[in-house]
Amino acid sequence: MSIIQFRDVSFSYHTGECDFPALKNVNLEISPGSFVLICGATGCGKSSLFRALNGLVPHFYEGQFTGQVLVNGKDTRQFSTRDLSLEVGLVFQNPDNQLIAMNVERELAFGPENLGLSREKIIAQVEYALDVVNIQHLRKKSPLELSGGEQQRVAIASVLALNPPILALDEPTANLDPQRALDILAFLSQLKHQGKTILIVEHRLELVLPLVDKMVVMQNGRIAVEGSVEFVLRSQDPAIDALELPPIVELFKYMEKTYPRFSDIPFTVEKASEILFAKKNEGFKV
Amino acid sequence: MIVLDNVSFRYSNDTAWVLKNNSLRIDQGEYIAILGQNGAGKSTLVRLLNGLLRPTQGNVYINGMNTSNSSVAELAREVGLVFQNPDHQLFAQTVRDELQFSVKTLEWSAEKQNNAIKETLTQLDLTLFSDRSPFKLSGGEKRRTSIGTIWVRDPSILILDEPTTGQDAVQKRNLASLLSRLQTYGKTIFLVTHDIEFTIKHCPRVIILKEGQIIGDGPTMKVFSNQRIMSEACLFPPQIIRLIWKLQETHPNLSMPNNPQEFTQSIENFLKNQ
Repeated sequence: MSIIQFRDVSFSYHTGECDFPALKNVNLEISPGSFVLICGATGCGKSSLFRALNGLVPHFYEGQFTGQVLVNGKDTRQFSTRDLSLEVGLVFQNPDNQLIAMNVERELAFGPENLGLSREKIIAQVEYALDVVNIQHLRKKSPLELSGGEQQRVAIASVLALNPPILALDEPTANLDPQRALDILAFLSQLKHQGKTILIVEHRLELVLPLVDKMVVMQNGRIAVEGSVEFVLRSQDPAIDALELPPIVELFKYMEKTYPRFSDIPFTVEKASEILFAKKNEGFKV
Repeated sequence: MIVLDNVSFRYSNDTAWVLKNNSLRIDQGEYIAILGQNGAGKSTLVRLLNGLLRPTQGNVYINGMNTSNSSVAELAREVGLVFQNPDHQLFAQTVRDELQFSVKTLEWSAEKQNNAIKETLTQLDLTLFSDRSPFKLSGGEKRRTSIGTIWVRDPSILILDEPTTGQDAVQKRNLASLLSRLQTYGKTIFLVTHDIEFTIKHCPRVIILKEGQIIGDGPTMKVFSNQRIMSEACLFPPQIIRLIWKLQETHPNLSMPNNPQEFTQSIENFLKNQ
């Protein structure tokens, strides 16, 4: 059973002068507890896809919506964004666009308060989010005095305070250095192992691919290719050209083209070295 | 030329040093990237170069001018800073107005101003958009406009703050070819970035900053393959270097390629040689 289903979904924004088609006949199934990478060129429809998950499309953004999005069985047209916020937490690229409160604790309480939960329940949810993201020590600090990595953690925690089964993160590591980006990605992977479904937009494929169960490449509002990482990397679809493939993938694509006995496309250093050692031991001659 | 002579900086007497005893020389026409963790001092260093900040100790020289004795206006003629987010930089009605505003403050004749605008529009492929609002352009076109507003002033040093953030692969390729083209005009190109893979592909020299101190400076491949520097700066080395390290564990004779273009060759050599 899928936790997210897009059934022939199309959406055009009303932009005043003309309609701008952002999603075109999108069909997508996401299994619960999977880590899904959404990628593609700027303007390919990634953000609109995310907005369709929690009902911002079509409830908040004006436009023409056809098809059906089911999130945990809920048809997004039948449920309010309030209800859907309990299913999907959205995290944006820039925490500045998301953080508003005087201190971290208040920030995390903001979502549960707006749902009208009881005081006890709010406190419990805030404590849960502080613990999961491991930011108890930041609870009294202003979000403004935190580092970029800490701010991003607070943004993720503020969404987790509603304890949704699905997290959708739009380039959550874009402003972070590689080590902090890796820390956030590893943390998201942990959340997946605790049962959350993770959807993420991330351009730095070399960092994220080792964690990914399913990769979806979009182009011009459509899903161009989807499947396992290896399946997508092998695809000849032109949408792949808009991705910055990790150097190891580029290397093995070249080897595959040049030498008939090369047929693997690894995307981690460990796997690549394993294959190269095996080839060398076999007495591979270039 | 940029020279830092034993430069230290702190925001006030009772705060910690943000930069500590840094010396550096960058020749005209170099293409260089500066990397370091968030909070390592990169933005402060950049602000020392365009005079927004003055060193607390030591001296910064830009083309021979000591920044401590020069006005921001004087320095802005030499050093152009392109912001990370074009939306923070652009404001005018049209792309041409953006460029016009940028040169208006210079004591140039109308003819010189017009020629500079025309040339910039051509060099940055913006002619087609010159009468359009910068806010209706795509991300890549906006980025070119924001570079154009600085480029039109003809600074000898161009600093770009995180130019690849949020850019997809096609936009990055276009940016890379634009920057190499700009470098052929003899400009110094200085990137502040986290993008290790972009740096290794395009920048011949790299500076690594950690807690306010330069701990690495040299040819990019050499610095990135220095395990001590990378781990001290908490930087994650590029994939090709990590793969070569892994192979070197059992085949110490395998040499590190001099540049990413030689990577495939190195792997072929590894497979070939017994």
